[in-house]
Amino acid sequence: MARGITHFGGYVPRLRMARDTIFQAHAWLNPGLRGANSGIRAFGDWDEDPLTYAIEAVRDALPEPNRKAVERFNLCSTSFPFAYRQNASLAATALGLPRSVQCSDLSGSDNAALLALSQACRSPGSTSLIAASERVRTPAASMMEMRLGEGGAAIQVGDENAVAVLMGEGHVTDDFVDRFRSSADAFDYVWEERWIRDEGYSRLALEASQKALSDAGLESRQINHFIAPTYLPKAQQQIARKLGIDSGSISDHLMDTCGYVGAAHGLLVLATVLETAEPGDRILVVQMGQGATALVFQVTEVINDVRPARGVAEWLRRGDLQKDYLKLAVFNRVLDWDRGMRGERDTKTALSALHRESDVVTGLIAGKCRKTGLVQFPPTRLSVSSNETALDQFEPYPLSERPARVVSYSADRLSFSLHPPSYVGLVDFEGGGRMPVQFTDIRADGIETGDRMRMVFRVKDYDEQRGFRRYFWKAQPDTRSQSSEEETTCREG
Amino acid sequence: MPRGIKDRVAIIGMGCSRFGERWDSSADDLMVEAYLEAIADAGIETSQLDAAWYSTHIDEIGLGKGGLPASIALRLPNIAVTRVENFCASGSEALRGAAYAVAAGAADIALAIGCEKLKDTGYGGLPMRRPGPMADLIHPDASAPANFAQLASGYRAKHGVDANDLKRAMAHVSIKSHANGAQNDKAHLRREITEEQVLNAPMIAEPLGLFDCCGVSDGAAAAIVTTPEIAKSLGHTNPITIKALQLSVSNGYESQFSTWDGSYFHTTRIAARKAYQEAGIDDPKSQISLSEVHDCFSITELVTMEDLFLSDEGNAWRDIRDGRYDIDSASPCQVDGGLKCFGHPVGASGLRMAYEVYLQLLGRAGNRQISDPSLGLIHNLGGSPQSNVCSIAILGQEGA
Repeated sequence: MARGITHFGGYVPRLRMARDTIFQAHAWLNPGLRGANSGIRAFGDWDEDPLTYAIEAVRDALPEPNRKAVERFNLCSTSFPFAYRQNASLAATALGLPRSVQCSDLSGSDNAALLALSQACRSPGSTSLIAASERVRTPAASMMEMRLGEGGAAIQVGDENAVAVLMGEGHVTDDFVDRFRSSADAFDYVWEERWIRDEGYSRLALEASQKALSDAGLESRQINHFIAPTYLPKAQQQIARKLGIDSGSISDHLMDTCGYVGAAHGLLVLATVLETAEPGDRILVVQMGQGATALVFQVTEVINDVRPARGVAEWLRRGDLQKDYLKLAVFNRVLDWDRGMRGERDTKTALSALHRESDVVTGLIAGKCRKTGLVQFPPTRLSVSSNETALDQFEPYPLSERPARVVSYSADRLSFSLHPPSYVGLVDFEGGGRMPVQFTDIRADGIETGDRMRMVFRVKDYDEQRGFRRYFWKAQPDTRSQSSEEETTCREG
Repeated sequence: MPRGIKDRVAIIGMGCSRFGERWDSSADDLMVEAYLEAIADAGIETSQLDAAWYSTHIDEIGLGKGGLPASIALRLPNIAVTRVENFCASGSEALRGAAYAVAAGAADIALAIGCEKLKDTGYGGLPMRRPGPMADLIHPDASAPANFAQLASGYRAKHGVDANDLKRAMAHVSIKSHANGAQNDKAHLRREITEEQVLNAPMIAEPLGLFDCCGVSDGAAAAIVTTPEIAKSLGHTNPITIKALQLSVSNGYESQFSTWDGSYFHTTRIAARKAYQEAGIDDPKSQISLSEVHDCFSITELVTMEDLFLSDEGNAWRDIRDGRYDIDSASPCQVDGGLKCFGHPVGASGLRMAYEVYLQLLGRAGNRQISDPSLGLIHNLGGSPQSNVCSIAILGQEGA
C-alpha cells in the first residue's frame, strides 16, 4: 500500500454574516467595499480561536481510537494564540494524542500546511497528523474583513489505507510580500490587489503547479479537482486558465460560504473535495506563501470507506446567519466597548494548577471507579457516593467524545459575558458522570432539560492583563441529532 | 444522634441595623448599631462578654479578614473573637459558634455578630467570586441568580409544572414578601408590588426576573447568648431558647453523583430532619409557627418549603399560590420581608432571620406581630443548589 492521506476533516464555525451586512455597516465610510459584498463569511464566537478550530477539525477527521497511533503532529496557523507556548502540544493534550507524539507549530505563510503535508507524505514509517486553522483579526471596514473567513482542517498521513496518494509536488520560494504582519501588530498590511494577483500569485502558482504536474507525470487536463485558494476574487480562474485546467475542474473555493482561511484554506478545500471524490480522481492543490507549494494527489478505492465525522459540507450547512455587524466587531476585538464593572474580574491562571490538572482541564478526563463503576468528574482520591466511598480506585475515563444531556440550566444575563446571555447548567453524560457546565453555540430559541449535548473545547477566559487565555470544555447542542430540520444553508438566529 | 443543645442556650438580646443602601455608614457603624441594640436588650455591659463569633462573607469588599474588625469596632475587652465564613449562611455560623461555646461551658455570655458592607462594590448584585486555582479552571462563570434559577428547570422537568404556572407561583413569593417588607421600618425594600410588575420585570437569569431576586444590602445583626440559668439571673424570666441548630454541607453528591435531579436542596432535607429531631418536632406543618427561610430568589423559597417538609413534594407552587405562607396564614413565611425585602447583607442574614423570629416569639414585632407563635424556624443557605451549606435553627420559648 502506498503512503498518503488516510483521514481528513474540517471545521467551520457556526456564525455567519452576509458580506452585504458588513458592507452596509461601512458603506458611508468605505463605499469601495461594495464590489466585495456578495456571499457570506464564517466567523467564530467569542470563545473560539485557531486552537479550538484545529481541535474540532481533528475530531472531525480522526475517530478517538485512531488518535493513539499519531506519532507526529503539526499545527499550522498564522494566527496562533501563543507566540511562546507550543500551540500544538495544548491541542494534542485536548485531543488525547499520546504523550510520545512529536508536536510542532508551523507558521509564517499561508502555504505552511501544504509544506507540512508534503513532508509528511515523504516521511514513510510514521503516522502524521496535520491540522491547520486561522482566526486572523482584520480592521473594521477593511477589504480583508469582507474576504476572510475562519475555520480549520485536518489530515492524517500514514503508510496504509490511504484515500489519496501524493503523485507529485512543486515548490517555489520567493520573498514576494503581498501582505505582512509584524510580530507586534494585530492586522495585516496589504499591497495592491492587481499587483498581487497578476505579478505574484498567478506566476507563483503556475510555476509550482507546472513543477508538480511534471513531477507526477501528468498533463493539466488530467486534473479533476483544481484547488488554488487566495483571498483575491477570480484569481483561481486566472491561474487555472494559464495552467490549462478545464474551468469545470475548478473546485468550489468556499469563498461564498466561508471566506478565506489563510494557512488552513488549502487543506479545508482538499478535505471538502475528498468528501465527494471518486477513486481515480486527481487533485492539484496549490497555495501561495512567500512562493508557492503545489501537490498532486490521486484518490484511491479506500475513499469509499473513509468519511469524516461530519465533514465540511455539514459544518457549512449548520450556519447561523447574524444580522448585527457589531457581533463580528466585538468578537474580533475591533471595538472598544463598556464591559461594566463585572467585566473587570481578574482571570489570572495558576500555571502550576493548570499543569497538575492538565488531564482534567485540557483532556476532560474523568475517573471510573474500579469498585463501584461510578464515573466522576473531576476524579479525586476519595470518590463521591451516596453510600460507598472508595479510595484511589479511579481509572482514567475520557468524557470529551461522550454525549451528554441537560439536567438543569439558566440563561445568565447578570454575569459578564462577551455573548450574553451566558447559558450555564448541569449535564449528565451517557454512560455516567456529570458536570456543571457553560453552554456555547446556543441559538435564539435556547435549550431545554433533556436536550442532547456534545462537548467542545473552547476559550474559558481571556486574561487581558497578562495576555493569557485559558481553555475548558463546554456543552454545545448536538445539532447532528437535529440535522434533518436544519437542512437550510443558513438559518437566522 | 447526639443529644443536641435543645434548651441549653438562651438568647437574651438581639439587635439589627437598618438594612439597605447605607451610603453614610461604614461597616463599623453598622456593627455598632446592631450591637448597641443587642446589649441594651440583654441588659449587659461589654465587659460581661466572654467570647465573640463574627461573620462576614466577602472580606475583600467589606471588613477585612480575621476577628479584628469586630473586636476593634465594638472595643471588645481583648476576648476571643473568631471570624467565621460559610457563604450566605455565615451569620448562622456566628450564632452556632457562640451557642456551642455557651453549651460547652467555655463561655457564660457570648456574642454573635454578622456584618456585610456590599454597597461599596459599585454595582448591584453580589460580586463574582474567584473560587480558587482549580475551580477557576473548570467551574462555569455563573452569577448567583443563574445558579439558583436552574432549580426552576429541574423542578419543572420533575413535576411537570407549566413554566407560566411556576412563574406565577414564584411571583407570589415576591409579592408576599414585598407586602411584609413594606411594614418593616428596618427593611431595605419597602414598596408593595403587583404580579404584573413581577412578570414584566427585566430578566436577570431565566426564569428569574428582577423581582425574583433579593436585595443586596448593607447591614449588621447581633445576638447575645447565655445559659437559661444565667438568663434568668439577669432578669430574663422567660427566655427564648435554641431548640435546634443543624448544619448540612454538600460533599459533591449533587454536582458529581448522577441521581440528584436539580429540583431540590439535598442538604436542606438532611438538616431539616436533624433539626426536627433535635427539637422534638414530629409534625412541622402544624408545629412550626413561622419560618424565615433563605429566599435569595423566589424559586429558592418555593422549593425550600418542600425541603423543610412544610409543603408536600411537588405541591409548594400550589400552596404558595393559595397563600399558605402569607402573613395571615397559620404558618407565615418571611413576616419581616425576608432576604427579598429586609435585604441580604450576607454575613448578617442568618442573624437577621433569628432577630425576627426572636421578636415574634417575644411578642415584640409590632405591626407585623403574628398571634401566639411557639416555634420559629430559621433556614439559612449558602452556595448554590449544586453545592451548598444549609443551616437550620429552631427557636422557641423555654419548654415549648
